[in-house]
Amino acid sequence: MIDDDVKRAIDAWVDGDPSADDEQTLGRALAADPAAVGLLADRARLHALLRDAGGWHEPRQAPVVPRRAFGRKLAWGGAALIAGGAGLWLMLPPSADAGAVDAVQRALAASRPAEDRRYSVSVGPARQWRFAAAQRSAVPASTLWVRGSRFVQIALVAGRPVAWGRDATGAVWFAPSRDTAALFDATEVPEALAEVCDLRSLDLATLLETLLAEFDLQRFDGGDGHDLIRATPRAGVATAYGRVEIEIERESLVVRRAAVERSGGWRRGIVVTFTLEEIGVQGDGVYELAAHVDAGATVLGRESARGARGELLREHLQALRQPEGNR
Amino acid sequence: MSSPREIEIREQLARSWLAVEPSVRAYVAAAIRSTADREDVLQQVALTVARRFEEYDEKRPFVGWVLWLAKSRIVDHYRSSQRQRLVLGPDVLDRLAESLAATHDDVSPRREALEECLATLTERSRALVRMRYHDGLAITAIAHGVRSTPGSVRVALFRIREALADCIGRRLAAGAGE
Repeated sequence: MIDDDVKRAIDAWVDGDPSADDEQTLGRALAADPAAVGLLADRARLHALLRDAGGWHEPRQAPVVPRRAFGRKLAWGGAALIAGGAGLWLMLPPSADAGAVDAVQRALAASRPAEDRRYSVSVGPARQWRFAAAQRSAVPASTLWVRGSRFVQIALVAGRPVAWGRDATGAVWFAPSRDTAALFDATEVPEALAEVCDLRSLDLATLLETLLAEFDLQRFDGGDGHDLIRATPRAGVATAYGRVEIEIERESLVVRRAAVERSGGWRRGIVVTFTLEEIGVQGDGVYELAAHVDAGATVLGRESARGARGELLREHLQALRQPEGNR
Repeated sequence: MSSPREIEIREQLARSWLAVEPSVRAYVAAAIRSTADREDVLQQVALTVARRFEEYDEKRPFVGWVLWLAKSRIVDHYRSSQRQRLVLGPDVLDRLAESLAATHDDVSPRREALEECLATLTERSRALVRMRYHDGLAITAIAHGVRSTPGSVRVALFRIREALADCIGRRLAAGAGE
């Protein structure tokens, strides 16, 4: 029988949050009691499985399938599989899930491009790419403010804020520090910067329209007053996304989370998750470069020395891109 | 251009790694205190496995070989970070590896049991699990988010993991008895 203090110490250790007392308790228990080693192995395995399960996990529930699809659901019931790629994913027959389509249509109608929304953005590998992911550096999480096509994104890279965005004119800017930045007119944005902008940005209306046009949708009761919509590209349709999962609050119709698996090229297998943190009103200035550099900062533009902006991007963009492992 | 043999080896490596990765992740989590350092060490283990894959003797269990390599990377990690004391001695690391290798074949049923057990949690408990494991939030950030204290969140997560471990154990035992 293992003492509760030892259990707590093991739990805190595996959770990466032990106190000095926990470490002492753990060290003593592991030296004296073989059962403590077994418990540590057991809890560490639980920790590892929870990480995997957490990726796309929702409580296991039957998908909400409209009555007219019920016969087909039964016919496919024996073939329902749990795929390992992203936790639980019930492979049900493609069906016109009227509830899912309706939920997405209503969320689209309720989305207001004039609002400013703040999301936390995380970029990670789908699980089937974990081996490649293990060979590359972690990509920093970021905060996104977005209004229509305007956005500003801020990430901490090596402890320092890096900001980039698109202003009302369509110009795209990149500021790796408050004293240096590069500014590109809408027509001259280099591909590498456009890719980073595209990877981490969320144009909600476009996403929802794409889901309605090109994806098979399934609705699940996500509990907590929200619908969980899982979307898979229709067979034969080439899309910019792989699987997509969104959470829609039933009452407000707000999309509070979107997890988007990218497809194609080096982004294949990358899942970008946008978690809504705030809907508010920001001044236009927040999307402009001036708000993210100090007065007197060096801003490289079209008139700057040839290659200077590219050099700045080469130096700083790599940390924000998904790296060689996926290319 | 890669030869068919090289492609075959790469595919075999990827398949083999995916099969053992949960056990390696668990081993590293059990052996290293800092969650950030765990990711670094896991990367090192993956690289070592990739570099030395041709040395692997197929007569031996792959998981045992990989955990043996992982032990070396863990010891290297503690050597290079002099501020950290090795809480788990080499003999404990060996016993941990044995324990994880012995239960390695249980990973799939364990994962299925976990999914079922997660579905039995209350909404609040699931939210805490999600914040901790899906969103990767620190205890203090979770506490801020749910308007609680870090201590309360720690206790809640401890109880949730206890409940999940019990639930998984019961389901595995029931499955074994069928």
